[in-house]
Amino acid sequence: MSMPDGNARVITFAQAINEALAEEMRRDERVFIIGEDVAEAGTPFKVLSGLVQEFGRDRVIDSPISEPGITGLSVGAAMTGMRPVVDIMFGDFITLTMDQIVNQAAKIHYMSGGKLKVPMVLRTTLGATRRSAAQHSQSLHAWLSHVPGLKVVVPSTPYDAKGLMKTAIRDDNPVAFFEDKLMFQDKGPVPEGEYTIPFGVADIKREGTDITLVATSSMVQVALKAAEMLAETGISAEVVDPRTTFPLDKERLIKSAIKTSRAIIIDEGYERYGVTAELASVIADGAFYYLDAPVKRMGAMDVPVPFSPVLEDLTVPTPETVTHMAKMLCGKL
Amino acid sequence: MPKEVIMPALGMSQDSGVLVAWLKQEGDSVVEGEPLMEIETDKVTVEIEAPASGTLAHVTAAAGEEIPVGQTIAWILAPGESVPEHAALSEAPAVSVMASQKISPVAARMARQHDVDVDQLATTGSRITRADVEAYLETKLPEHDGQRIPASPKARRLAKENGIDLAELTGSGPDGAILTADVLASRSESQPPPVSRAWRIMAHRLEESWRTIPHFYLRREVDASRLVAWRAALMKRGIEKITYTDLLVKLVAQALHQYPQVNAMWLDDTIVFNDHINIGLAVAVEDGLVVPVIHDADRCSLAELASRRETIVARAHDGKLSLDDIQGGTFTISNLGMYGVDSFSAIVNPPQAAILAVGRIADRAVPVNGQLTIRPQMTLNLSCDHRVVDGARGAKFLDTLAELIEEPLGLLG
Repeated sequence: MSMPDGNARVITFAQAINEALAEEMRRDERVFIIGEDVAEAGTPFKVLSGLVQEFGRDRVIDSPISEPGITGLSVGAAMTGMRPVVDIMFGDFITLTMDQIVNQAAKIHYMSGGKLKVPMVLRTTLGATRRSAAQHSQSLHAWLSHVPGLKVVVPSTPYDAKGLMKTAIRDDNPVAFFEDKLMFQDKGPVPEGEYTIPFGVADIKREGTDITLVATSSMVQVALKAAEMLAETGISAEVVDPRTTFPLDKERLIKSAIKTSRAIIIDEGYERYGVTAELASVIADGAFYYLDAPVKRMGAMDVPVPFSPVLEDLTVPTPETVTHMAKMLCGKL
Repeated sequence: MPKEVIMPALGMSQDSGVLVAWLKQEGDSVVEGEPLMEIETDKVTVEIEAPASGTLAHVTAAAGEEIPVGQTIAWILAPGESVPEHAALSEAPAVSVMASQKISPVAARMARQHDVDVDQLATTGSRITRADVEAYLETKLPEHDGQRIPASPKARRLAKENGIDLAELTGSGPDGAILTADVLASRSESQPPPVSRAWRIMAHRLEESWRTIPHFYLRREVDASRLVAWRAALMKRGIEKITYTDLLVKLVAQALHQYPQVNAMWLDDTIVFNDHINIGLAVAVEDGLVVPVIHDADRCSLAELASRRETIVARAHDGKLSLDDIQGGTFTISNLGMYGVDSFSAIVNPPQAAILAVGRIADRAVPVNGQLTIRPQMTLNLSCDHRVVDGARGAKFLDTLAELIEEPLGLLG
């Protein structure tokens, strides 16, 4: 597992994102933020607190409630030399931005024969169990992972979030950056000073020998807890975090599965046609002759996310359900 | 004129080609220049055009077959024509494995791959084809209820790499699927720790002995008091190196001298007496059992016997025995007394006629002159090859040996 060097401070996921944005805005005048409630409010999750004070209303822009509008103008701004960070409060609302992102942002570099580029970041959220009901609880990162021309980041720790956000802002391609709503207050070590994390490099969050748990974003913590529980039953689980769904570090996923002979893919998006399917197929293909069990997928249940807390909690993978599945694959159930 | 279709040569060094597919079927009408078939050589796949117009007839090669260049594989006939008679007879010279059996190249290759004896194959046609081989394999291959054995990809790969037949394994996975652990378990079972060369030689020799030599056993308990006293006396004189084994070698050599038939062997339906008395000592070494030999034991003094015994036993333990050290034995002594064994029966060490198994010396309550007395006793077991030694002769030898042990007079020194 890549750990920050030296005497890292312990800060929240939200602070890590905030720092990354502030540092990049200081570093590059072309970087600006636009979104609903991003300025004084600092977003409902308080991720952007303090930025408007430092950078002013011209660089931290409160927008009307018009996701397609702000996304479209950001694509244009990016094409003409700026480096916008668009804030889409809930990941569910990317559906409103789809034409701007999928047909414009993702395609322009290619369609213009490389003459134009769209260096923008679409910051948004994912994750259920916040009691936000069916329209504010989805994890739709698979939608954007599907489209050529887009890069998709799904960080799982404050350290990764900061390093990856800085890479996202400096990338000349459109990058979708999904943050788990429930992880904003999670704390972790983040070193002082400058660092970036490259895209397409998976991180082994925990080493193990019996089963590989590939987990993304919010599910990394679930997988780590499951690994802890599995250790008590004598099963050594390896937790691999791809960190970006595209570019995807296929090699490290396959290598881990070859080492352990078993794999479960855990992702909070809908299981059906989801990120889990893509990652499972990568492993099934690359590690086939080293697998001792079918590659299993665990994603969100095939239902609209319920508002009822009791029901909502049943729709996403938990340490208990992951542990159960892992034991089954290891023949210890 | 009927026109033959032959396997063409597409390269200088090509001697056969594979018929990938017929693009026309038997009975189809073809036009000269039309693609007729696909041929594959070791370098290319090409379409071959029909050499004439007419009806495709008398097709003798099937898709997938490897056919020698120049061989006729079909005919193109104009209306009213038929295949020339000589052609019908000379069809498909093919690869003749047996003078009596014709077999197509593909079938021959399959048979080779599956180790199938071509003579075992039956055919309904004029030659053995791929279908015949497949039909044969169908009957020979183990049946798994016609189903593929459930196994994980990894287990399947490991089984293949280790030459393990999945059908012989029991799967511990869902629906009895064979998992990696099942393959590894069977591998550790099927590959016992390797056996040393020495151990294998011992195994083969004793197996041979047990199978071919009609054994019988004579058991005799002897009073070892004098033997114990004798050794004690020697030790008192400072000759500590002399062991009971040395004393026994001395006494056995003496007894053998009197009973040459026990110092003999069965060879080509006759008894051959040995000119020398060479006594082998069974020695347990790290990787097996060896029997180094003390040659001409009857002519050695006790001190010589002890020193020779010491030398060969040391060499045995160091694995440095020479051929001379282990050849020419005419009788063997196996002493397990030091392991606390009271008595045991040994297997004759071929080509010798007998082996003496010696147990430990232990104090026993024995009647002497009507009185119960405590005496050091020792049990001897003589195993004999009945083809050389009969019961009476063996008994006399053992009796003489017992007397020598109980009264080792004149042999001191």
